[in-house]
Amino acid sequence: MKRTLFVLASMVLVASMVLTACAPTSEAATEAVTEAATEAPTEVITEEPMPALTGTVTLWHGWKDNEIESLNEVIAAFQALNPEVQFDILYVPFDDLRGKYETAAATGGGPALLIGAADWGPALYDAALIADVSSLISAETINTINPAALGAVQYNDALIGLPQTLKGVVMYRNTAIVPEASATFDELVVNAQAATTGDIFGAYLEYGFFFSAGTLSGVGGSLMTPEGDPAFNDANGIAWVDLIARFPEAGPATNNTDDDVNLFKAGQAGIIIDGTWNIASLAEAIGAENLAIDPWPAPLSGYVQTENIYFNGNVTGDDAAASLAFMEFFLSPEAQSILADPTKAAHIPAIAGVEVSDPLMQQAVAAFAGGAAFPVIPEMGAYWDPMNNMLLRVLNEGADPAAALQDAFDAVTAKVAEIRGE
Amino acid sequence: MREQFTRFLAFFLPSETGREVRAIFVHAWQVRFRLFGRNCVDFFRLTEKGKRVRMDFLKQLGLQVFLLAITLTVMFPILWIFSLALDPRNIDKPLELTLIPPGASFAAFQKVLCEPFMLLCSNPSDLGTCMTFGRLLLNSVLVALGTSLFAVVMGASAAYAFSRFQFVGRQAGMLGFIVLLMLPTTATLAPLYVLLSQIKIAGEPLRTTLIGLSVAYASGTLPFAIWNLKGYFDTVPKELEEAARIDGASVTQTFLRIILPLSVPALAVTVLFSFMTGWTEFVLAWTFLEDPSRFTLAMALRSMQGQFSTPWSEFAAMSILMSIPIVLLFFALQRYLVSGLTVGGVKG
Repeated sequence: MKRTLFVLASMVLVASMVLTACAPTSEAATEAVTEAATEAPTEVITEEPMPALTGTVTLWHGWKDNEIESLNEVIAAFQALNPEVQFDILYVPFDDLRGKYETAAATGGGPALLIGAADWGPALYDAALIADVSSLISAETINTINPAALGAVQYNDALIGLPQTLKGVVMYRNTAIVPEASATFDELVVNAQAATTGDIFGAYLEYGFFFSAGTLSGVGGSLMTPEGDPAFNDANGIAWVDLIARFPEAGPATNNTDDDVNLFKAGQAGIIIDGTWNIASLAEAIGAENLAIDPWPAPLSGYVQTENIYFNGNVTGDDAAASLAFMEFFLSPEAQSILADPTKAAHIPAIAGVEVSDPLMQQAVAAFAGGAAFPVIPEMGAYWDPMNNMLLRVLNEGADPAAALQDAFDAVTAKVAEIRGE
Repeated sequence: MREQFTRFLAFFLPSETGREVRAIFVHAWQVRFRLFGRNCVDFFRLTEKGKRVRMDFLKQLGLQVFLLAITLTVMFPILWIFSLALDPRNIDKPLELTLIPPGASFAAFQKVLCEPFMLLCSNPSDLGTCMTFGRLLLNSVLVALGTSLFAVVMGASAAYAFSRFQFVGRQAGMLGFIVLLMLPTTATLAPLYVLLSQIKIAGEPLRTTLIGLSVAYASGTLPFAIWNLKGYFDTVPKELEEAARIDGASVTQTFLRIILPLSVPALAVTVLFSFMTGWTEFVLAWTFLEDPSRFTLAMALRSMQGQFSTPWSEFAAMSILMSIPIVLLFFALQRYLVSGLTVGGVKG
């Protein structure tokens, strides 16, 4: 009996090895990328892409189902122009994407293109894991990019990627609960209080640092200097914290929870602060006809940021040429129109001259006009915890704004020095 | 267990057996009530016995409250997951816990089991290349079994050497395994990545294959396997081996025919631990694998977690379905587990 078990176990081991070995091998792209890493240094491509491009474009992303539909359409449109180019697309969960890319690129591999967050760029560039594409992308394409979006990929005199969409924090309103948009925060408080009845809240405002930091610009303040040193500890900073501390006047205020979004989706919250990435899900939950994105009531404001495409310098030859051509195609009016389809990716275009037909996306673009640019330098990493803790202390524990700001300033200064290795 | 279940079923039967079971049940409760009645009278007496009864009662009450709290703590997340899986609203987070949510359905289970995973496709424009639950399950089984077999085969050999032979570096080796045991899996990610990328099978890095993933997992489970098995082997009397040697058995034969059959409890614990690692791990898997056709269930579960939204009903349904094989394996090995863990755990 024991011997039979042992033989059986051995057979399972052998079978598993055989089955695993028989699994289809991945596309040639991975091999090509690894081999390319041992080849000569990256060729500088200064000319327009040749009509007959060949090679394989490997792309890693963290997009979800509806965005993948748009990505497929963009690829199909590119392949119609360049039928010889092959694609190797890999979805990686967003939280694992950066780590996977860093590990692969640091060992000479990785995909040719990475779609990722704007704030990954500087750190990846400093670690030489992405390439400066300023000499690889045509000036014509660069000139079409929204200036604010272009700022998100310019770092240390280099163009560290291309912005493929704009996104940011906006103010959503359920028009069935709060019929009128508010021009000022005081008006918002009045409107929200008037709409609050029973288990329906006129407003349920989020004051997590990411969602409320844009307002610092709205009151005339500044989070940091262009070099990344803290600059918020002044009268404007105190005015900002005082304003955030007034959020509970409009209704419950929450710090980095989904409570506001859940209640909004359930039709129990009239006004919330959230990202444009939730346009589709909010419209689906309460009906697009009831959803509005308001211009920021003065002096509130929100962060505007981008999602970028980065190019991996490890890739060379035909694969590099094809990948750069695709990267540039991603910012063509044709591709940006496909990505702006409100029923699929619903990405807000990062270039000028692309018509956005969806009313909600139009409202989002209008709201971005009053937004603040999201800082994309490595020092930003020093701000998150101290600033959010400061807001929690003021709103939850009733701490003095000036004292809390001073503590946050000290903590940020220390962390900035740590990041710079000082 | 089976007897208890049969008795439980018989309780509801109208047959003679059912009547007997019900009579036993009633009698047992009558005895309890009589005891309670007698204790109840003593409880209020100011005698020494009354004091003892009160103390016993308070102890019992405290114990019951403690156990109830533990039960609630353990059951709450499980109930929450079940409730989420049945909830068709797919909301980020339910505003209140309702065991049977409004409009409860098994749609999430059906979707997870029957529909392709749109994010896990070799070619996203061709649904036929997308992974299904069955294919993910097969990969998970292969990885988990591979991890278990690597861990048991290599762990048992190494543990036997550490248990029976004297060699230079024996103590240092065992201490080294302790250090490895304390390292989180992700700490070894970079060296494993580089090492497994260097080894190629048919031009393909071992890292991107299921065998490579099993080897990586086994490297994490081996220290535990060696410590656990070594501790158990130490408890097997050497006289048994000596008797086998006198009968003409070689060292290998003694190991395979005498030691291993006597060490089934420790082997069972090692198998379960390694299997669970291979079954649930996703960080290494997402870093190493690049071909969706080799992805596992744990990777698919992780892929459901979005940056801005997560389909919670499907996530919960998938979690429940994923846990079933582990539960079955646990029950299959249950009788070995307690002795295997305790004996291997205390001998060094």
